[in-house]
Amino acid sequence: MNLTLKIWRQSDANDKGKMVDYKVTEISEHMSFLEMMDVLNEQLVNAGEEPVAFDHDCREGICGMCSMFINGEAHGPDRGVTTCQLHMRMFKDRRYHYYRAF
Amino acid sequence: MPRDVASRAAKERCDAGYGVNATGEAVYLDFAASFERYGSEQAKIQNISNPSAAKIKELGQEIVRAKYGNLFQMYEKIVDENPYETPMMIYPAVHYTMGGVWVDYNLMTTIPGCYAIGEANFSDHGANRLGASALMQGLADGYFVLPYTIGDYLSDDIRTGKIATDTPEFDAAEKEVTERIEFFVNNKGTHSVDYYHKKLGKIMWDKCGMSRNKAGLEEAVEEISALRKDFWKNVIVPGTATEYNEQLAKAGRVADFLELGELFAKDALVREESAGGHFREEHQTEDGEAKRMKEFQFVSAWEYKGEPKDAVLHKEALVYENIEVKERSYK
Repeated sequence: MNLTLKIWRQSDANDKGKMVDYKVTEISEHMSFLEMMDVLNEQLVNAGEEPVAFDHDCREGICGMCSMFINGEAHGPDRGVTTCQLHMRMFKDRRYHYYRAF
Repeated sequence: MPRDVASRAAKERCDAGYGVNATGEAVYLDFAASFERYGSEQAKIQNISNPSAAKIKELGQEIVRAKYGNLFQMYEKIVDENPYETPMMIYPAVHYTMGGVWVDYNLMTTIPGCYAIGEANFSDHGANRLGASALMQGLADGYFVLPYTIGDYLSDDIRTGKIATDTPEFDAAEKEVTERIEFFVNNKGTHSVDYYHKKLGKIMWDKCGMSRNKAGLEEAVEEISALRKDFWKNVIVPGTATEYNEQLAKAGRVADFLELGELFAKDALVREESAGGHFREEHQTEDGEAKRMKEFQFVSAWEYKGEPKDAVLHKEALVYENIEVKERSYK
């Protein structure tokens, strides 16, 4: 899957902040949303840019740390899951993904 | 079959090229036989005469659902396949740790006043660290032990008051930490912290993992040493030290892992026997069980001398008065 991610970037409370577009390619539908974010961040670090900060801990759906607002919904379109258990196959038919960390 | 044996076998088969998924890192776990076994048992218990194969399977699936329903549901979420109908794909992985920081019976480390509880401290796991050990140990230490031991220590300190920070030791420590942080955020590097973390992980997984041998461990020591030099020259940590910076936090930890990993490999190389989670291929019994060697009946305490390869070994003999050292046997 090739995706365009629109992510809210804001460096601190005094910064106005803005939505920034990022493109990621060859995302497997079996990846979790956080794994996709890891792919994006690796890209950003290698390009000398600042990666996207997000909270995460267990990465296995049990601790509740990884919260993100995805397409206007907390934890995205799935129900009863944390973001680390949200898989990219849920986004196969959509092109735009809005994301903002809590 | 014990978990350590199954895990080693799964990895060995995948390394030999028999993996069943896209990355070759999976073997099948098929519950079909279990459905049949549980189902037949249930049919007898419920006095169902001449149960059809479908009925047996249904009864068996119910039992499995009651036992493992939540795990099966998690699996389906992740893989998008129904584990009640198709064989599951599984692969061993490292998560949590066996062992940790030494503590006394009060859970205090060798630093006076510094306590380590839960999975951060050492514990006597055998060759298998059981699931929920982290939770168990955290609760046992945090609820049953520490409340009764830390108060005792603090009571001596009750009139101490504020501790000064204008000592040379404090200054030296502060300077060292500040310099390290500044190095990370200013280094003109080429590779991310995750790049080094993954490389280290692969070396440890293959050569200092579930199954070890002399050649692999010697290679691991060399490779980790080289990787560490590369890290300190070429790691890139974006952002600054005065903001929430995940990369910086990770860099500090991976720097430590790169030292600890080499020490693990060195320690495993020196210990020419199999014991607990340390399985040396050259030291196993005919049944494939761990072979303990009397000359290694000690705990290795490594003294820090800068480089892991220069660490000095201190042996603490293991003397058993009330138990015998035995080989695990399910016979």
